[in-house]
Amino acid sequence: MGGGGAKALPPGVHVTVYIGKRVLISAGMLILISMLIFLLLRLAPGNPIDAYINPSIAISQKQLATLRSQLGLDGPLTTQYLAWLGNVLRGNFGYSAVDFRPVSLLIAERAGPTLLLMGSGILLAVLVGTASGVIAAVWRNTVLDYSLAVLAFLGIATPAFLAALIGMYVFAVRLHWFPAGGYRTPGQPLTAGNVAEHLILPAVILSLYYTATIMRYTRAALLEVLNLDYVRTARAKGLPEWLVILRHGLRNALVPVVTLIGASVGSAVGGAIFIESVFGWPGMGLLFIDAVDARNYPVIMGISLVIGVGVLCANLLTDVTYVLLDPRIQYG
Amino acid sequence: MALPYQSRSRSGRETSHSVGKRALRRFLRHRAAVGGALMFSAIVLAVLLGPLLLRSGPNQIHLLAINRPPSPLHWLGTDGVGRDILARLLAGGRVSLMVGAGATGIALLVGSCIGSLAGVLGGWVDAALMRLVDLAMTLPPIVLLLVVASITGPGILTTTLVIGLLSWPLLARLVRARFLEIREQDYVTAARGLGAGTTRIILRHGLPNLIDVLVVFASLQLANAILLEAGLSFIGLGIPLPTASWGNMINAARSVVVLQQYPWQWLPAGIALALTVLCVNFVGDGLRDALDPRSDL
Repeated sequence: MGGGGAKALPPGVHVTVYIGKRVLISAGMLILISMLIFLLLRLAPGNPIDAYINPSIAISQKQLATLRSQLGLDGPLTTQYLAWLGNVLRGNFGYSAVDFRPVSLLIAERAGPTLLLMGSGILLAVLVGTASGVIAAVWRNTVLDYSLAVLAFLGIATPAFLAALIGMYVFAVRLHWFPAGGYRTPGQPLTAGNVAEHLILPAVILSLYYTATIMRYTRAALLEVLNLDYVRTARAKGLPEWLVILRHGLRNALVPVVTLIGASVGSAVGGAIFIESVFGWPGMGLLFIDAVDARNYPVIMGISLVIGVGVLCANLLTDVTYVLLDPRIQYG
Repeated sequence: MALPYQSRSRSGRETSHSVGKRALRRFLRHRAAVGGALMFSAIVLAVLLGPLLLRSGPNQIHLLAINRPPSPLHWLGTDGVGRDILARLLAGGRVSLMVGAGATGIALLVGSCIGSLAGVLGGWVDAALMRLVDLAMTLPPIVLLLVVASITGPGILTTTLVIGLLSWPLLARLVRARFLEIREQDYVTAARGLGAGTTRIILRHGLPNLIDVLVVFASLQLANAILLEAGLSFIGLGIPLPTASWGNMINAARSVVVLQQYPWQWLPAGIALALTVLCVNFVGDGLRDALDPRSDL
């Protein structure tokens, strides 16, 4: 739920200045995050060098020292941090402590499935969430509105991994509507249809929480807007109610919803991690869980950093979009 | 903005009393919140008293009843090593609620301290602390939680500490905002003029004005902490077996056989978890409406 607190611009501040400032702040944040991740994992018990030596082979202190200096582990922490950061900037995230493959390669392999899962989940949540939010607002205080509210509360109270297990049990194990996991059917050619078949269930489950929040938010924002004077004017002009709601109401109600979508990206990452793990979806979340299980620190560092960059970009994009969308901002 | 609590003098006592009463009345009007509070009390009672009434303990193994479905002897069946699911559900509830409450307490303490210091002192202390808050709020909490948990390893105490120490930033931000308002109030200026120090201003003038923020945060954070504990234990980084917790009971369903054939081994814990979180959320919503001075209109 990162820094989604976009505010209206103070009068007289030009949009480009504002955006420039946001970019600088995000860059500073990114450096702080990289320091945090580096420090956390250097504080971890066990020496990073342990990953490189075979414990069953005797090794002398001298050899150990040579190895340490070869790996750059003998300098002060600041030097080590700068060296690590320099490597990261050149795209070298180090090597997995389990299979010794480059971390950047591992992440690149897994980024596609994760983006697919998160993209379709968020898209679905936006579509269903706004639609049901409008329905709840238009038929407010009816049985329909109350049932949607109950569903929303259930969606918010059910953690992603539980929803994933229940969804898998009901729709894959009992009803056989969808495959029970994975990204594609092994042994069959990789086709879009096959991937889509595997995608539907995890994407729907990922979207549940965000559908619920977006729905509640849209409903509240729409109800607020529908009480404003210009909506009354539109009604007085004799516009049909659905046109008033869609053109005058929803368009303005959606501005705060955009903020919510941006702020959701961070927590959607959390949901995706669990869902990928339950469904065996070969994305970054599964890689992350496996790395955490195996205390594979280079991979943990790499993925945390990539997630940090992703969330910062999403927040930045949200702030910028919000300023560009809000009709009340001043172009000074 | 109106400040709801100013029970300083003896004559102020009556107003404070009626403010509390008004809040209670508003809370009682909130049907979902009352229902949630009743249900949550029932869950707490069951979790506290239930284990005393059951015949089998949570870790007692019945070798002749492995993977049994629900029966009069074992109301919710048994698991793969013959432990009674109901007993584990209740014992696990104790652990889950305890970890949640402990983590919430830590978050309350740290968040209100840091928020008040930032709000009252201002200047570079404020700037530095708020950057720290921004930093902690940028990474998704579960990612940071997993990173830290991978370092500390599993355990009841470490799980409580880790969740608590990662959950304070939002509260710090709320408390700071409230203090920025309070700081400008005449009675604080007066107190400063009379020589009151930072500590006295925070404790005597700040805290009573923060009760609504703290109460609402505590209830919503309790739900959050319970969910985070369950998530960690589900991954295997939270509460280590054989101690039961709702999270590690749901973890059993990661085995395909359990997921498919023994739903009674994981569904009850899942339902208990979702139900508890739902109730606590309802209570939190009700408290927010009841304590918001503006909702009186």
